[in-house]
Amino acid sequence: MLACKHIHERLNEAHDGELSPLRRMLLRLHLWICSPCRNADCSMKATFKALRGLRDCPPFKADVTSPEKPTE
Amino acid sequence: MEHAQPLAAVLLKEKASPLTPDAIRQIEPVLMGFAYRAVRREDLARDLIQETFVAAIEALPSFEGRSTLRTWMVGILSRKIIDHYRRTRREVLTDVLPEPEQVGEFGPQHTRQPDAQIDPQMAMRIVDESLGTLSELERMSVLLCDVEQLDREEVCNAMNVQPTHLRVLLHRGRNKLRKALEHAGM
Repeated sequence: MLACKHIHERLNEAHDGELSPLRRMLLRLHLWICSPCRNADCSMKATFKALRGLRDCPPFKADVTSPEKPTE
Repeated sequence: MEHAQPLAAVLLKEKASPLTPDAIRQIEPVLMGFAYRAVRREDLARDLIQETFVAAIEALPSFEGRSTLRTWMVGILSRKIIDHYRRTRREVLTDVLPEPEQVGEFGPQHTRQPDAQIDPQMAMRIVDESLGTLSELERMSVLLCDVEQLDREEVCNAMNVQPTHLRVLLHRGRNKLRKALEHAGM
């Protein structure tokens, strides 16, 4: 069985398509029965979705450094 | 991009290329966004984009159109950014040992409520700002793999790292971003 302490590694591997069918099934089973890991899965998916969303989105700039004006 | 465009325009007179003024206008904000996220300074990002356009124009004969112009130029820009890291912060490019995820004895702990709605725009803002907390190589790996969606081989080439090292960087970077979202209650 999949232990909770390995969940983040497995979720990363699942996202990257690195899990064998058996491991993928064990992950699904574990997520089905384990609420904290289901939440971890939600957070991970939200992270990937946000990252994909950044592709065509200008940066959210908290502190923009203006380009220096050339001195003459 | 006030600084790079005149230079690029001058050089473009020499060669017919896919880098038309229209293409430059379209690609420039994309490169600016990528560079700013990678180096977190607008002036430096502009310099790197300028260098990228010059390098792209010089390398145009080798552009075979197998990838999109965007992918090709992001690849060039990422090499410029890595070179910049090398020049300024050599120590960050040393190999990074895997860092065990601290999940506690019983696994993940979450502040998020199970049914909490995640505001996508807010999540993007948190993730974007949190990219600044990643190490330079973690940030580059996440930007190239998860934002630009380049394939691993291209990313390894651009960053000059082994696939196993890239995997470690990616997992670590993603987990930091995930923690930032969880910390914000998402």
